[in-house]
Amino acid sequence: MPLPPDAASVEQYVQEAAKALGIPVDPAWRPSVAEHLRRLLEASDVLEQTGLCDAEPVIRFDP
Amino acid sequence: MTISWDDASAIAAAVRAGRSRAASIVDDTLARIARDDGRYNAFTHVLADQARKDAARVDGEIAAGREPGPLAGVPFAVKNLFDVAGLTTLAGSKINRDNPPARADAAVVQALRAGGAVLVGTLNMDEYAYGFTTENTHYGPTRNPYDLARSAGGSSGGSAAAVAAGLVPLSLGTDTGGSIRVPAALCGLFGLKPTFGRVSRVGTTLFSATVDHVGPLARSVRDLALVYDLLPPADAVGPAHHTPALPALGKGIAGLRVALAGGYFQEFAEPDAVAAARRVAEALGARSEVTVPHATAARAAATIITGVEGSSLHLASLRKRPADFDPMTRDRFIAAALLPGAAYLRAQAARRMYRDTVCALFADIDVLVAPTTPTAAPLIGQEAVSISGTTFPSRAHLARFTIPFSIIGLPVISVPVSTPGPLPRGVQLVAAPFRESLLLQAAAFLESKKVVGFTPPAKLSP
Repeated sequence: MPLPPDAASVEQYVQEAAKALGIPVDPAWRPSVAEHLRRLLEASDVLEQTGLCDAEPVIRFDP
Repeated sequence: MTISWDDASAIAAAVRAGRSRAASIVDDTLARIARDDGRYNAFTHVLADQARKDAARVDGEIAAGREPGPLAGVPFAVKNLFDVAGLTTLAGSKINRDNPPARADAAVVQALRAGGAVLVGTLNMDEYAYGFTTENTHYGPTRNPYDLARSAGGSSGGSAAAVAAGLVPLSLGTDTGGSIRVPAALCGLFGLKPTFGRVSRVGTTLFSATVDHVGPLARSVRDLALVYDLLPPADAVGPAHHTPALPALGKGIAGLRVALAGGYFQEFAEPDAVAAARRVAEALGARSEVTVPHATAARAAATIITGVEGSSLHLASLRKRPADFDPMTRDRFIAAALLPGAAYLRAQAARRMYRDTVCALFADIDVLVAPTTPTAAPLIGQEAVSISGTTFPSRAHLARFTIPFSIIGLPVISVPVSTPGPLPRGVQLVAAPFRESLLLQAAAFLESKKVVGFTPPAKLSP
């Protein structure tokens, strides 16, 4: 992933990326948002390690 | 006034036969909600006038000798993300209060009302269905009828509490990662999450478009089957995929190939949760234990997919009025909005591979058995749970066993199992896509053998 893994860097990314996206993030919310983003990045890492990501993505899911 | 524990099938049979009047049933229901719901906080809106008119219409049909429908006079309520004509669809939010009222009922609401059921109100939920405990900042927590200090589960918490407390015999909810099955399990009910795409979502506020499902919660298997047979299919699926469930009840389990889910589905769970699943599997004659590969990865993919799809739907509100979100919802949506797109595509790719792997298991088995939740109902406000020496966030951990099945759209029914303690537990029965009737057939067998079944909360028992 293009994001740095340490907590301070993720928090800085939240501040800058949210501003670029036009989402006003109160400084009091930033640690919580960063923690949730860190968990999502961890989830993405889990997927990469499984080798399950080589298939064609299915955006319209059809069981 | 006593609580009636009659299920919807019994109520409809009495109304259709002229032994009861829909008007008096609805009056009793409205009186019970007015008297008791302060304890549970299940309802966010009660439709007293409309319900009385609908009940009078049902009685009129019967008096005129016309067919009143299979759910004649049965009161029901719906999670407040379903459109109800004339009401603003809240979806558990403060932000949606500013929206105009819905012009028409959601397709599933229309279908049940056309079947003679009487809509009496809308029900509390986690904001935008993003949660598993219905601890809603704007509308308050919904309390578990078995222990008012505990959560009713979520996100369809109001849908579960209203049925378990005897306020209505059935309700509708939605399920993305477990939002029908988790509250059904924590409140001792039967809950059905049909195959993805089987049931129309027209008029339903979505959380995660490629994962959301609509389904019923009830106190008996025959009620689930009755409602399931009435639920309209999504346009893309069509009626060809619907095998009626009611005729399958009573067929027994001869020839049914059943397996217990092992590995991931027996880890980081309270012993009673695993024991309940084992008991159900044994009652169904399970002959094997199977490992569902990549369940951890499936949960990871689901976390990304649901977060990103949800944040996409609410991006405009996140930009304009983020302070009006429930803080727990807001922070997760913002985080997902900032996630690089590549992570979402990887998650969808992984989901496809995982689906193919799991569906292959059903070449050799018909029904897979797993616990619904790793724990019984957590306390309201509880942040963490410790199991086997490991501490987990208690809310997210509730969906450990439900997410790996809904992310690939499989049909699942959660059945209530009595345990030694005062709190109910649920067990999942899982099948291949569009085999809901098989699940209901197995659940009906378990209910007939009293392995599973609804037990009224002790303080409410007759």
